[in-house]
Formats: sequence, C-alpha cells, structure tokens
Amino acid sequence: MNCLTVGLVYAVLNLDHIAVGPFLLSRPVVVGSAVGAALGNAPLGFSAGLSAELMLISLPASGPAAAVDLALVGGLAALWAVDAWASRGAALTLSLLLAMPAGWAAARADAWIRRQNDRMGDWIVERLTRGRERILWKALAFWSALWFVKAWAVFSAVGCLGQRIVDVLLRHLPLRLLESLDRAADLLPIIGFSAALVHFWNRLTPPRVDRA
Amino acid sequence: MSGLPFPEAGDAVERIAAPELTRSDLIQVFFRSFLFQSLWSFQRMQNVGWLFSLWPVFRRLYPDKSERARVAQDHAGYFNTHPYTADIILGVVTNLEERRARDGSVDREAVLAARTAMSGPLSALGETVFWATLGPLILIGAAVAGMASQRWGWQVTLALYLVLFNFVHVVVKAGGLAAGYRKGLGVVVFLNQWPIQRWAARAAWLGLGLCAGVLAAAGWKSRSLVGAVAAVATLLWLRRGWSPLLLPVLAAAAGLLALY
Repeated sequence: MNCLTVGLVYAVLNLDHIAVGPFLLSRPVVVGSAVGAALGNAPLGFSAGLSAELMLISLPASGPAAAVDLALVGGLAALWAVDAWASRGAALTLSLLLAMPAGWAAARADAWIRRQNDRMGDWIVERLTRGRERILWKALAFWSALWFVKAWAVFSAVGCLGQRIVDVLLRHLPLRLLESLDRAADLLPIIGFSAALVHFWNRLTPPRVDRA
Repeated sequence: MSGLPFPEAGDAVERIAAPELTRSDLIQVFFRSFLFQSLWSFQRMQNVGWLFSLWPVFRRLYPDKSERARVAQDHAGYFNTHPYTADIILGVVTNLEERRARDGSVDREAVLAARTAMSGPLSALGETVFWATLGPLILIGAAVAGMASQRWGWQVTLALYLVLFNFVHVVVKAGGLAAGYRKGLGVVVFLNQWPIQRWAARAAWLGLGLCAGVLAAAGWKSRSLVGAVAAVATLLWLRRGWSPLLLPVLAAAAGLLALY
C-alpha cells in the first residue's frame, strides 16, 4: 500500500520534467525528501536523495542524452531506506546500490516508450494543419496523463519488488557485511561532495581523453 | 468610382495592416513556454512544444484559419533547444513573424533560418549555464547553508535550492522573451556583450572551492583515513571517466575497508 501511495507523490513530481517546467521538482533530492516525508521520515529521504543527487551531479536529467532516471533513483532510494527495518545506515547504502541500476533500466525503458510515441507528434501536427486547433491542449492533457500513469505504475511495481529484495538482503546478509554497509553510509557525503568537486573541476579543465 | 470592383481606400488599409501583438499575447507565450518540454519525441524533439508556445502569436497575426495552418506547418519541423533559453528564440521569432505578417519585410525562410540557427548555440549555453554550473552551485551552496543550520538543515537546503534556482530561471525566461521580442535578431549582439562564459568559469571555481572546503572540514573533523581514501578514489574514478552509477559500490567497498 505504501508503494502505491508514495508512487502518487513520485508521479506528480515526475511531471516536472515531462510536462511542466522543469522547476527542479523532479531532482533526486526533492523527490527523495517528498517520498521520505510521505513515509514519515523526511530527513532520511533527504539524505538518500541528496546522496543520489551529488553522486549523479554530472549526468543530464532529461533529453536524448539522459543516461539514468534521476527522479526514480532518488525516490526509490528514499522509499527503500525509510521502509527498511534494519539500521538507518545499512539500509541507506543498500538502497542506493539497488536504486542506481533501477534508474538506469528505467531510462532505457523511457527511451523505448518515447520511440513508440514518435508518430504521435506527426499526428498532432497533421490535425493542427487541418484546422483542429484544440488538439494541442487535448494532446498535452493526454500526454501528461499517460506519463503520470506510467510513472506511478513503474514506481509502485519496482518500489514494491525492491522493498522485498532489500528486506530479504538485510535479513540474510552476514552481520559483518551489514556493519560495513553501515560504515559506508557515513562515507556517502564525502563521496558525494568529491563527485561534485570533480564535476566543477571537469568544467574548468576537461579530463584528457586518450585517442586510439 | 464606387461602381468599380476596387476597394475603397479605407478598406485597403484595413486589409493590409495585420493585427498588432498585445502584451497579453506575449504573456501567454511566456506561460505556455513552461510546457515546452511536453510531447517531446526523439524524431522532432520539441516541435509540438514550440507550436504550443507560439500559438497565441499565430492566432493574433493570422486570423485566417487556413493561413494559420500553413504557418503552423512551417514551424512543425525538428526543433531542439534548452527549455530556459528557448524563450529568447520565441521572442526573436515572434518579432520576425510580426514583421512578416505586417509588412512582409521578413520572409518565411528568414524566420525558419533564425529559429534553426539560434537553437544549437542557445541549447549549449543553457546546458553550460543552468545544468552544469548554476544548478550544482546553488545545490552545493544550499547544502552548506543547511549544514550550518543545525536544526533546520534539510528544510533550509531544499528551500534555498528551489527558490534561488527557480527565481533565476524564471527571470531569465521572462527577460529572454522580452529581449528577443524587442531586439529581434539584434539579441545575438546583445547576448555577446555579456561575459557569460567567464561568469560560468568563476561560478565553477566557486563550486570547486565550496566542495573542497566541505571535504577539508569533514576530514579535519573526523580525521578518518578511510574517508580520505574514499575521497581520493572518487576523484580518480570520475576523472578517468568511469560511471558515477557505480559510486555506491565504491562506498560499500570503503565501508568494508573501514571495518579492518
């Protein structure tokens, strides 16, 4: 039930870069905090979102070059971290570990779905040039509704499945490994700020690329 | 004279003069441009968002429905730019379309050429300024402010991040539309007068300094060797161009190291 309710929060915020804005509402730090707040632990959701945001600071959020669904990473990491029964640190690290590939897969699925929708744009222009001007508003509403439902369904399904996986892993992982995940959570801010530092460094002096 | 099939002088003037754009039309374009990214597709990118944003202009300048449909067809091709700098192009094209409709001093090809020529450079400018520099810088600044505020840490970070960034972005959008409409193609000269690249470089230096300061403060406070190793490993990892998606794995490995 949690997944479905929280999925609604995610789906609303996800419209930010799909239809409106972007006003940064679909950034991992915002989605993570919102998901955390919906589950009753906004600070942990914020930590999960900020960690994802800083680590992925150099990646484009939308458009053809988007390598990962950033909003999904922030949302899932927050959902799994807040809902886990284990210690806060271990759950946070494990959630981030699993949310990254989920976000990568979601970006691939998103590109595939958009390619199926390519004809929709031509269809709208054709209607428009035939004088049916209200098609723009209708198409916009339809498109937003379509992506809202898609975001809700994907988040709810992956969120529920991932919750089970996180739960099973936290119950069965050796204690020593859980302790190390707990320690790793303390290092997340350092790694995040280091990633941000490299981002600015690359802006000033792009790294050399070896040419074959 | 009235029996001849020629229009009276007053009628002729009425037919030639196209309706003028009003402030309300431009305000509509501005608000519609917030939906610029909707209906984005791989084939023609933001073409539908472009048409949607400019529709109030077309409706005003081309009252005849068939003529409006023809102009819409002209603008329906591939278009891709940054959503925040798009308003500059919307302003320029509104200016050109107005001149095209009113006195024919600009032809269809000139309008479409301006639209295409400006989209690439302004897309690169938007990526550099907003996504690569301003967004990360405001986030880091907001996070530092949040760390300084013990009690309201995450609230301060989120509020500063959203308010500051969106304030700048909305001002740039509104100013870009107004400047593009007022100056037409002259906006290119206007934009060249601003040392945007130099500002972006300074902002990147500031971001670099803030991150280095946070890391130094964290290192000083914790005096953790594993923390230093994790920071250096992240620097090397990302400078080599390896995927940031694997950074949680690096964190887990560092956590394992911390146990021993």
